[in-house]
Amino acid sequence: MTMTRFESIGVYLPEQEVTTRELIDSMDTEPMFDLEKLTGVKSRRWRAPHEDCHSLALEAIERCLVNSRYEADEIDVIICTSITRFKDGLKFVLEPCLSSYLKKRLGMREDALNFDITNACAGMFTGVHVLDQMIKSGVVRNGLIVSGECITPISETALKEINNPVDEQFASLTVGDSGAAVLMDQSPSDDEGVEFLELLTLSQFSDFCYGMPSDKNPGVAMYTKAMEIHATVIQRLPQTLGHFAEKYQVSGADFAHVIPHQTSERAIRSALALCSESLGDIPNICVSLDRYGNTSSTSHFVVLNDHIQQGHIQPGQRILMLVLASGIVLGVASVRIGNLTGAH
Amino acid sequence: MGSMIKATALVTDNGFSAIDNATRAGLDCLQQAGIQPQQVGLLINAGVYRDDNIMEPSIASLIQRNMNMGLDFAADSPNQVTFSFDVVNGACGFLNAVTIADAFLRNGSVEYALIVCGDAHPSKTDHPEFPYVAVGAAALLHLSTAAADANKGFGPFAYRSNESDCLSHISTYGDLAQFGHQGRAQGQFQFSNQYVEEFRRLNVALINEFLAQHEQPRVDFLLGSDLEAGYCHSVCASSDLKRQPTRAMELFEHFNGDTHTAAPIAAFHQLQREVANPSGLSLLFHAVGSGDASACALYRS
Repeated sequence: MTMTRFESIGVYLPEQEVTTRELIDSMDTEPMFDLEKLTGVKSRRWRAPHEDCHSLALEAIERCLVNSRYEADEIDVIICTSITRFKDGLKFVLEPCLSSYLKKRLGMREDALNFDITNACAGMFTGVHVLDQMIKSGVVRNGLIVSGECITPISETALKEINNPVDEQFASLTVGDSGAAVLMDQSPSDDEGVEFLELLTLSQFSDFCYGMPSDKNPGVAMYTKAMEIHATVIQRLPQTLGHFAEKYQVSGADFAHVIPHQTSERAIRSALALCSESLGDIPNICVSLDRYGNTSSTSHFVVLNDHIQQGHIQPGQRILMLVLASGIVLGVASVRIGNLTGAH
Repeated sequence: MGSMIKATALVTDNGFSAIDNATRAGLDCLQQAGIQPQQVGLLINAGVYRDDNIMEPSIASLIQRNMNMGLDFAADSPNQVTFSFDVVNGACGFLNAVTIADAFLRNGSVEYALIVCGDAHPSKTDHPEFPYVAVGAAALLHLSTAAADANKGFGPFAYRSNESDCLSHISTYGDLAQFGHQGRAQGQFQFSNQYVEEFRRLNVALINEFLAQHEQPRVDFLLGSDLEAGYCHSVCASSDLKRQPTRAMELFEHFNGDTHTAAPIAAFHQLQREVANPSGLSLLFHAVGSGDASACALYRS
């Protein structure tokens, strides 16, 4: 079966930077821990007043299409994977779905498919998995996965509501706004493509993190049992990664980089250190959360784009992507990167 | 060879939680099929409305947990895992989910895919403003390898949205700034005056295009969206299906309202009650809804 590939990507980050110090200084209740030191998040991008999920997604798509050889009317499916789905302020849209608005705005063909996928921070990778399967089965030739993630409203709620030094809303202060898009098609060669991709939902832990409207203030809140999630992942990641390493006959040394979901640098490094027994040498760990925070469903593509821009990731390199999301969703992907941001 | 429906289930008297209704429908469906939850590799929730307006985790993961499905990773059976997520596209969500599940099944990525649907007001109450009937529905799909099933199952599929410069005739959302601290229990539902007419126009256009493209296949039953009393019949009567004795499956009066994302499963379920042996029938599933968008798929049982 032929591989699919990432044909091009596009990332948009709002201009305004907000530091962790600024956030902590504006709170009545100081955390019991040094949030910046614990998570590694120094700063994050914050949406402008006129920006929402829809506009962040459009900005990302525009950048992606500049990097792509495809025009909007050549795209067979658009999948929008935002968690928050805000359009026109704090309105979260249910019907029509965000991809419907985006499809029309882009002038895509009327017979092109569109749907939204909701799967917490695994949203974009769920889209990648779905599109990979759809291209392989022949139902579409290509497709666009996008997420405009206007997630800082949960930080605004946390700033108002945290009243306990170990409050479940502290993780809400680590997030940042972004938009990311990836266009996928069938790979023209063995030199680039999604080599394998597996995602699984360990549903016993589905109540460890809830994002929902606040019951105290207008707005949306996220309640995270961060310690429980970390403990659950630490206990299962080595086993899960070991299983995939064996199944696909790979080890850490086969990869130039690993891009984990961007939760906390300390948590990422301690979790991956435990995986050395099953994975061998751990490849270079890519993080961008110091500047962009946890951008939720877009995180892997924000990091990928950032490290390509900085010249750390080069075309032809093989990257191990690790997915972690509420659900709990765990996932692993091996992707050989082509020229994603240059003109085709 | 396309994906086949191994079993369906419909829950109509189970209260007003979308999660509870989908969970019960999912469990009933597996029981009918004689399949254990652990055998389901893919679970997709295609309902639009979310209990308490939960944005994360996926509603599917909560249904998965309630079904005791894929609770944890087991080192001794590492391939027995479930992956779940939500697909959202108004009334077309079920047929989009079938398109996705069909790809996973054809590629041999999973053996069984369970799709659950159904909507309820986010407050989990019988809210007077909620425009749909609260039901739970489930369909279990698999790929049959039996030679007799070679020409059976789903396919081909078709999909179309209205013109790019036309707005959606349904708009539903939650305005958190306006809801105050009641955001978990509220929603706003706006329907244009012409939505039924506009949906019928799109629905009929897609069906005509589909029939022409596939050399006017035989269609015994039209199953799916029934927006008001007589809607599905009117789609049959005003489309090229009128040239053949296609029967429209009436749902609206039976369920006393629009079953929305659950309509295609509800119609198939109803068909099984009315037709003793549906084997050999040619069915056209259809859906139309916000966007505006319409989907259809042929199914040979």
